[in-house]
Amino acid sequence: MCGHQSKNSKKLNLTYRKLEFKIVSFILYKEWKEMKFFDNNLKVPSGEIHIVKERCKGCGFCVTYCPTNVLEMSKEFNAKGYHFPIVKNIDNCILCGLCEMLCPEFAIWPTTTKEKEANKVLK
Amino acid sequence: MTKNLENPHPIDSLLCENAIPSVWCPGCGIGIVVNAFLETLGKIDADLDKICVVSGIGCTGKITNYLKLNCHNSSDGNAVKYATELKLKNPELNVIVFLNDTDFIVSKAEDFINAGKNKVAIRVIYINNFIYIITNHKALPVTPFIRTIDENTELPFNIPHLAKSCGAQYVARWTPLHIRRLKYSMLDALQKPGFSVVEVISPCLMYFATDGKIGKTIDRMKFFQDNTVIKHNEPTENLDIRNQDEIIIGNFVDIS
Repeated sequence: MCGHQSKNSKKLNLTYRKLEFKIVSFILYKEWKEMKFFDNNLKVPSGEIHIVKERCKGCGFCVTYCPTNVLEMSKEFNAKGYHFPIVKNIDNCILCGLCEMLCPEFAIWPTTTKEKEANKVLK
Repeated sequence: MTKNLENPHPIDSLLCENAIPSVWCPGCGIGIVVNAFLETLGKIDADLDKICVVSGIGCTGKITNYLKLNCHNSSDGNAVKYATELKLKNPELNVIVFLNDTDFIVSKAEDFINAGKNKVAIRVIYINNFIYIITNHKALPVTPFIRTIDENTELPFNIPHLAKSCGAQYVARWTPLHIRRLKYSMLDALQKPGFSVVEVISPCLMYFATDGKIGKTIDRMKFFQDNTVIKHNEPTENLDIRNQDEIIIGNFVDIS
């Protein structure tokens, strides 16, 4: 009996939590619309990407998992016969650093560019 | 060979640059684990003279060839034994062990169990490939999938459950795709006063090499992306990797 009651109470709690989550998220969404972040206040860091093409082995993790599609695989070959990534749109880079962390060969890393950082604004 | 003196990589000071590019296959998970480990070392602000890295044999044994730290590449199966004696002799050292299947389950699991029971403060990072790669692609006690060559139908070994029952203070399991969470759990594991274990399920290029289907490691990473579920504080009895649809990952034990 006790186990049965506790299961029912857990279900009730879950429903209440879902309701709360919906209400809170709705309120936050309204506030977020009214505040208008996107005019001039919020700035996104921008980066510059360094690639050592002789270290690359062409696994393609950095190209597939880049969240803003900055990189692209090249058609040229390496000294060892692998395709290496090249930079397609440097303006989209937000300096998350995922390409540096996912690279197993230490071949790619981003650095900050302070000149762009002052001017760039999220659209 | 591949030096960049103008713009060095942030980790390049800890790497032997003449040895890179490494021996590992393109897209191997071991390189990502080394990358995460070296980045977490920068956050601790510890003396690099008081850090020692021990590795065994196989693909993970090659890790010590690329580090500019105090390293030891031990013989077959004696990695944990060497690390416990090193820690007991010099208690100031921060000893990190990179383990393979061959160092741990197959040859000498007793050293692992004794280190956990005596609460020796070693940090074990266990890289799980599910397969013997160098020795003819045989099946392990850890392989979850049924192999047609050996006709192996055994259930895989549950490593977080063994680590918890030994008395580990910190047990976690991640894949190299969840790289930020792996770094946080490594940072927790490096600062524990006792025995701590982090299991990393890494993609291997050579799973289906005997069938002639090598493919790419991106497919393995996409498999991890689709078929993993994060469940923190899950009881470790449920963590078997069988022929299920989903692999459970997360932080399971955290005793301060």
